[in-house]
Amino acid sequence: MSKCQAWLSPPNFSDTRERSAELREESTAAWIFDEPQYETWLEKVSQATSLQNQRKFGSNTLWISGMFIIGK
Amino acid sequence: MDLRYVHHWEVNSVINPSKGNPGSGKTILASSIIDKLEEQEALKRNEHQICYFFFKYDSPIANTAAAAYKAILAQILWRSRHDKDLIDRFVFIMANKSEGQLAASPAVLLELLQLCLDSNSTLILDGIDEWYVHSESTPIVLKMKGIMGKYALRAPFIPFVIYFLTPKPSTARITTLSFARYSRSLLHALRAFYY
Repeated sequence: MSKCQAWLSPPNFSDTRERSAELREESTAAWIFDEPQYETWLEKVSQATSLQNQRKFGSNTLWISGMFIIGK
Repeated sequence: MDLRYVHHWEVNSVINPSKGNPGSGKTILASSIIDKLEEQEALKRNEHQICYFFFKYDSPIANTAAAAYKAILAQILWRSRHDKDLIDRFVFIMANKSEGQLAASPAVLLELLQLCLDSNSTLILDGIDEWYVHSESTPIVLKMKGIMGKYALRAPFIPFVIYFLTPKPSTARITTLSFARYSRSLLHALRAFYY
């Protein structure tokens, strides 16, 4: 296991997530969980086995894009 | 905007980055989704695995596709540390494909990803347009081929993925309208590539 980890040598990936959790105020991002597109997507994820033969980059992908540029 | 296969909606409302951390709105959104998904009982029952990566335009070690592959595989490896079958796959690939190289190459990483990801996996990738800003000049649609195209062609399943698209810092002054055009052209290009 440790040999595999050394071979992978991943970059530190959890720091951004941890920092975001610290900065996040309660319900900051809660709106997204009420979006119909999110709910539809989550339903598909929960029933993943029904999509086993789906090979394409399809409706199991949820795209979110936006202007989050305050301060940038 | 409604693309035939791709759920996409544009979020033009500005999320206020809490406590003044510049530009953290979409990252906070991504991390909220990761937390929420990990709490979902339905996903826990299926032993669904959630993997993530945050691309950072200003970090040479976190703005490449290989960095994402490594981080995702490290998460899978850690969660499956008691799964002998999966560890054996890693060891086999390490022993047979690495050609003695001490660090994993992107091609080998992709092969491992194909072995480890299935339809019970969700990938959350934050800031996909940040990953090639410095080191890679290949258009993003071609870079996408690296992380998704091989699954589409060869793997039995493809994982669920969320991408977050945001303007690069150099384009931070673009207007809402031009950003809408930017995301639309990117998604059209992706769609043309995959269908």
